[in-house]
Amino acid sequence: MNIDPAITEALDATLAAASDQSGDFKKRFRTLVSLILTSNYQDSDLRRVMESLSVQIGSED
Amino acid sequence: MDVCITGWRTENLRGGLRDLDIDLGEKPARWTLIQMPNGMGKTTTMDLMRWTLSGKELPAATVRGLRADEHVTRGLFELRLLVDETPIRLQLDLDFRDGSASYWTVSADTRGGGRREGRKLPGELRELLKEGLTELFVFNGELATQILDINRTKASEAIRSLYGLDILEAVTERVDALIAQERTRASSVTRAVEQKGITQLQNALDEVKDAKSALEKQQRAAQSRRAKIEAERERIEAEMHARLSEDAGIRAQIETIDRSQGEVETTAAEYSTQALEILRRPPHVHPVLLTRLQGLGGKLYELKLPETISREFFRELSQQKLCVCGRPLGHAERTAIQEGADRFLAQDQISVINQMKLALRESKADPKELERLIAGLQEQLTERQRLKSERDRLTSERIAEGDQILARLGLEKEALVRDLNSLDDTIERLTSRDPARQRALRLTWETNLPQCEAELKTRTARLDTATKTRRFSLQGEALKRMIRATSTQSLDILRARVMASTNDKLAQIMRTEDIRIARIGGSLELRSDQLATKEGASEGQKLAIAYAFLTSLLAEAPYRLPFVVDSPAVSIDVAARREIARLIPDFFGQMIMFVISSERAGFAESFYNRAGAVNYLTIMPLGGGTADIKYGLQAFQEFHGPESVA
Repeated sequence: MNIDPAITEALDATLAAASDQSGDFKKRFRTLVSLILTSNYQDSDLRRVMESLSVQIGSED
Repeated sequence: MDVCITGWRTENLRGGLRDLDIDLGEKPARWTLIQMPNGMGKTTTMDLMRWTLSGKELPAATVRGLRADEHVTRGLFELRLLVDETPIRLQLDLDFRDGSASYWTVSADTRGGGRREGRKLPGELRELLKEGLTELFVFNGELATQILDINRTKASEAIRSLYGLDILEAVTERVDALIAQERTRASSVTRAVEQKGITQLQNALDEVKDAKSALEKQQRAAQSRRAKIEAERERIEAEMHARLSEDAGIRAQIETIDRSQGEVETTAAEYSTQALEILRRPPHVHPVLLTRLQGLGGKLYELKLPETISREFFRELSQQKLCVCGRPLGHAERTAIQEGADRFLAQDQISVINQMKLALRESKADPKELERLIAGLQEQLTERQRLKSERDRLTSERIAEGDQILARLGLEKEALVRDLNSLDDTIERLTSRDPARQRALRLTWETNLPQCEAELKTRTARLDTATKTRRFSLQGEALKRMIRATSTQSLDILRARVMASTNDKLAQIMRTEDIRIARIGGSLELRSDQLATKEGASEGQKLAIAYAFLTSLLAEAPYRLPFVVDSPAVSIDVAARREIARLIPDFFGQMIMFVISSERAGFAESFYNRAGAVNYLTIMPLGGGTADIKYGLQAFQEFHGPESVA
């Protein structure tokens, strides 16, 4: 299924704001959203995208 | 994805639904107008469609309320669909005795009749068809009011459902579940997954690292000092040796002692080597061990031969005239050899066990040899002690004769030996790996290097696990934020798009009053100069706004869904009916409209001029819950139901 242009636009904006994230993550995130919207994702897809996210470990909650 | 309805069928249901089969054809007309009087089951049919599409769980009272009469025990509603040109029949099976309902799917591409329990729809469609969404396209009239109710969120829920934003946001719950799994897995190592706990673990690790560094420093210092003292001791011993050797008689005695000591050391080394060699061979260590090993060899099962190479031997033997023992072989013997062969055959790997067995059986050793070696070794040690005493005696005598230099050297050596012993104790405490010694000396990771290294490993693993879990948790939180941000922004964009499209339609429908949507928050928020004075929109206006909204929503959605509506124009004035009938139908790929005869004026009649693409059905009661279905415009136009207006 093609993603609705409105969601693609929102996705672009979200990823543009995530300037600290890698191109690999952004690509994976786009694919994940597409899989979710077609109810075609598994936990392993989710886990891989999570693990490709860059985070700062030292911050307090 | 395209979905359209090709018909439905009812069995044993109340109203006019005892035995009704509506067939819209394999390729249904774009618009279907179904005219039937009130009480024939329009509302029930709409409910049944929504339930069947969404798979709603039905209370027993609802199921029993659908019963045609007391004589029937089961009922059925079947909705026939075309999903991307593939026919699928969804069935709702009703058991009136126990009030249960179950959903079934019949699809042509399934073997064995193709009836399977559950809603076997394509995954994304199954997810999409939730109760809230089915209300949009199997239109619940109450929704017209609800989407304008500022206290409700029906309008934004509709957008979220249709575009899958609710599914997108639901993924955040899966992220939470994955984090919980990771924490559970890590909890066997550490419970610290928050930053505070990680800081504590980091501090604990640093503490052990510092301790290890300090212990290594102590070890280096002790070993360095020991080496210096040892060198000093050797120097003093050499000086004492030289001093003693100044006397020719003593020198001769010392040389004799040195030679004897050299021989003792050589012999002791040989005995030690031989004893170690024997200790590596258990049968030589003790007679009891030898006896037990030989017993084990005897207990291993009967000697067997590798099957692959030995079966042929027995076969050939049975064909010989004489046995290997020289006796003649007759028929009975040959048969016995062939039948008994299996008793002596085993898998080819048996040869390894055979070798073990033979080795054990043939274990031969003289256990006294080790005893002799140990006794010899003890003798050498005794001799070495005696030679040392002899050397000490020579030194003592010399000192007793007044050799002050030798006396001083002797005292210095004793002090150095004490220091060496003390340092050896320190080094043992620092380096001992023997658990028994560690316990005896009450050593901890703070005082013993091997224990400190083990503690360092444990704490490193704990910190690594917590850090990994912490990172995973932060990654999950970040992902959830991004998903929510995407969903929120999508919703904003879609709201603006749907609002613009809805307002375009309203401008055409509401020609007498300028009603517009000012904002889509949770609900549709209207803007009009006249609304305030008359306390809100009329029922007809609400319906018109709802249609404008829903058509805008559904027309641009990623899924092409049918639109089913009950009495679409009954509360709208004739002028607005014409506008709705002119505008709305073109936005749907399929529209099924249940109408009563009074809706023909203004609304249904607007379809009469639409060429070819309209299907007209007129359903009339025949009594006893049954009905007659007439197809075509003529019957539709001629029908006069009880609601018919003049």
